[in-house]
Amino acid sequence: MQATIPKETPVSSQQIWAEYEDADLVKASQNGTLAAFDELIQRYQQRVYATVYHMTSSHEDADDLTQESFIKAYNALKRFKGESSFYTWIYRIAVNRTINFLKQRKRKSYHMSLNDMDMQVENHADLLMFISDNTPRRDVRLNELQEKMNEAMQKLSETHRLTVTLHDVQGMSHDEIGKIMDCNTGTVRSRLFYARQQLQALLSEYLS
Amino acid sequence: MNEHSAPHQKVKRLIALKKFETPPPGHHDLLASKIISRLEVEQLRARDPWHRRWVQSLNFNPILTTAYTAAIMALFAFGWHHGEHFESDGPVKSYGSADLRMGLMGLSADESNPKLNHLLGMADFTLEMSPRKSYSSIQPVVHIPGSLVPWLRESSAIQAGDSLWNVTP
Repeated sequence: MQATIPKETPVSSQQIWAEYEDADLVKASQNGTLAAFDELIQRYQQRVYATVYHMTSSHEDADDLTQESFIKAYNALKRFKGESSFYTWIYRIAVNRTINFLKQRKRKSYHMSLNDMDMQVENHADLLMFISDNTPRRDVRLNELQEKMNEAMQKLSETHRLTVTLHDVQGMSHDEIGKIMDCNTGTVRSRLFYARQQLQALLSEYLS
Repeated sequence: MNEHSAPHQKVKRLIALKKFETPPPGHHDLLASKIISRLEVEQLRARDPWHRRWVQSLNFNPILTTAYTAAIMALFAFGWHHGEHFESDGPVKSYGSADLRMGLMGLSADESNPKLNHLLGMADFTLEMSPRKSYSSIQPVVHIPGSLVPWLRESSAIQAGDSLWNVTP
């Protein structure tokens, strides 16, 4: 869209910004229009939050890190030249921040604070395949499976965990992951292979 | 390395179930509001004058607050301790650098005199102040026996023992 970008708009008039493309919203945000940046937050917060959540296995940490990532992005927006998409850029900020956080967290004890599983998963074909056998109480098995998956994920290295999260959970392509992680697609494939191999060993009771 | 091999397909499908882990309802609306509120606060704070930002930083940084409080307490303790000394009967001796004393004595006008500078620089002074007398103003009087500077050598205006500051090299 090549329409003129309004300079000052209150945050409440969000519907105006919903029509603009990322590049226009970035330009407006660079000029200090918070409403434009709010639209960018609305577009990407779920995906950024989900990635950070699957990396940390903690709702509170994911919430904090997502906020910090967007605030850092806004403050660094003047330096954003548009060489990559805003989407890749915000992901990189969030991923780097999360990896730094996880390195610090290694030295401390922490507990997982997992989000609830969406109710629609209960009838998902894959879930039925994994926990339908010998399940007197499916909800208990579901919680147990969720905890086991998160524990297994936390045992992977940060880069392997990130690769699995972006590819298998978020459904990103190798190319997109390569841009976010600043590596080639061959490295992405290799990391994915080793990460899945580890997960297979850790979750063998569900896969046999 | 075949990432699409059968056992890995099973792992992939299992891990993909993680996408059903979702935050509580309304979380994302709240998250966006939190981010925007924090950015608005930051923008408002950036417009404040530096002293207000400093005071605000005290509210938000417990380490800084503790450090400033400790520094202020130390200053009070120092002042209280030295205040007590001034109220006591005995003479108070203080030792300082020659440069400081030059400033106190108002000798800057004679800085061009190399002999005076040498004397003041080399001498190990003892400054004495008598607490028994009250003075309406600070009148530092310097007496250096054998000084090359006449007014320092001949303290004509004062008698020995009356001087506020006796300086003995």
